[in-house]
Amino acid sequence: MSFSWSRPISPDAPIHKGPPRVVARDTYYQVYAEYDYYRLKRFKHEVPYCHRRWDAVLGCWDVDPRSLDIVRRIYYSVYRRFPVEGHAQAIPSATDTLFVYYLGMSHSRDDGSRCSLGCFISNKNTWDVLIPESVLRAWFGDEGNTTYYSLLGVHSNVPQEALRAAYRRMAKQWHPDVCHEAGATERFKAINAAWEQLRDPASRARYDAALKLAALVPQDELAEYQPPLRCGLLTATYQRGVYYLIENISAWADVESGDTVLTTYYDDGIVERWTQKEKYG
Amino acid sequence: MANDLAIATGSIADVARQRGISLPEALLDCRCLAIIDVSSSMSIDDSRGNRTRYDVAVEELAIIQKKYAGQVAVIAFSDKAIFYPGGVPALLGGGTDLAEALRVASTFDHVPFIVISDGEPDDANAALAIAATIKSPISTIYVGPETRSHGRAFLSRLASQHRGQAYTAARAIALADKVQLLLEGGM
Repeated sequence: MSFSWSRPISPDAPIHKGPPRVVARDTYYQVYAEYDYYRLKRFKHEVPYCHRRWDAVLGCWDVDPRSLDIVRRIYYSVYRRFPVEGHAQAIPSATDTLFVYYLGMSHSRDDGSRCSLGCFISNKNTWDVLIPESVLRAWFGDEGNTTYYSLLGVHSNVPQEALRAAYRRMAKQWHPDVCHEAGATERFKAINAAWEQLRDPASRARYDAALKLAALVPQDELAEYQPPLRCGLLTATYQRGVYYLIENISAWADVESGDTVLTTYYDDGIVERWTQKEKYG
Repeated sequence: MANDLAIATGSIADVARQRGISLPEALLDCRCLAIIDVSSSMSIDDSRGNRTRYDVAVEELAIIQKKYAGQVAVIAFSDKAIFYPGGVPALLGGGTDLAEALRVASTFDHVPFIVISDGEPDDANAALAIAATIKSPISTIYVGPETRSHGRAFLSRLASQHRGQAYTAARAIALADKVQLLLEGGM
């Protein structure tokens, strides 16, 4: 009895048998192969997380062209053949503004990397966006542990006058009336506590001193990371292979319509809310 | 044996853990920095019960942190300076680089400093030069033997130049009493 290389989640997905079949798509390859525990383990170990994605509907792995040789090595030794139909080409770095509809928490992946998956407004059902945690932390000024600044999504050297705007922005995103995600109420309280400490320059200076002293202590392993914003218009540099792999963020604007602003959160599916700009914070 | 992971009751790390807050948040309630010498001379076992000055100093620090929970942050120094949020400094051994300790402590220059040492620093002038840049009062507690005057004289000078008090708690005995005096006397 044979199985697809990984069992498709969708009951309608075909189960592949025999030698692997590789089909080029625009910026990646679809790899259909029989399930084999050890080869799958090797595949996950050797192909970076950002270069592979399981397509549950088709029952195949989407593989970045830059990792196709790795897959070829894994399979050629078994089948002595590795036919590839067509030619795919990953798009090297490009810069554009992307409408990210929802961005999830960052998790540790099985290759040791840490990243968030997101989706575009145009395709809400597919995780097309991948942002390494380091890119998110760099953008939001989060150097490791959660701080009052990272709760407000700003760097610790942000001008005093920009803090209020950051607070209002985060309050809108996380207010319990708007966001029903688990932990949102606690997050909203923490955002308020951050604002209370940082709004006054003198108490902000005391917090800055505490941050500097605490920074002398080696950090524990990083906890899961929740980006403070989960949607927006990202001006970003990215590579396009299996994912839109974000390399650098240069702007993160709110999505606005008239006097409302978009917020999204996850509650057994992505939930969309439009909130009055002047409400909250 | 004290180490990096030990957490004294009432220390900054203990308060952070109990309240479920981060170290920087816990440090907001801190009232003073205890800057304690953990150089080789602190391992001399001439303190109470034939124990080392270091052992007794750690014991006394634990008493004061328990009484003033979350209000005392501990920095230890020898050839280097280390912040111990758990309030239990390790015996580092080596020299007495007070200048480096004050440089590290200067990041937290809005609460009074209490320097606890049993001797002169490696470079007294360097220590005084760094101290001159610090705005907070610097008090001192001498924990060496009463018969030695050099170290005590230096600490008295440091305190007098920086609006602090200078005390002696010979061989670290009754160190907690002196810290309490400083905390309650407003330093």
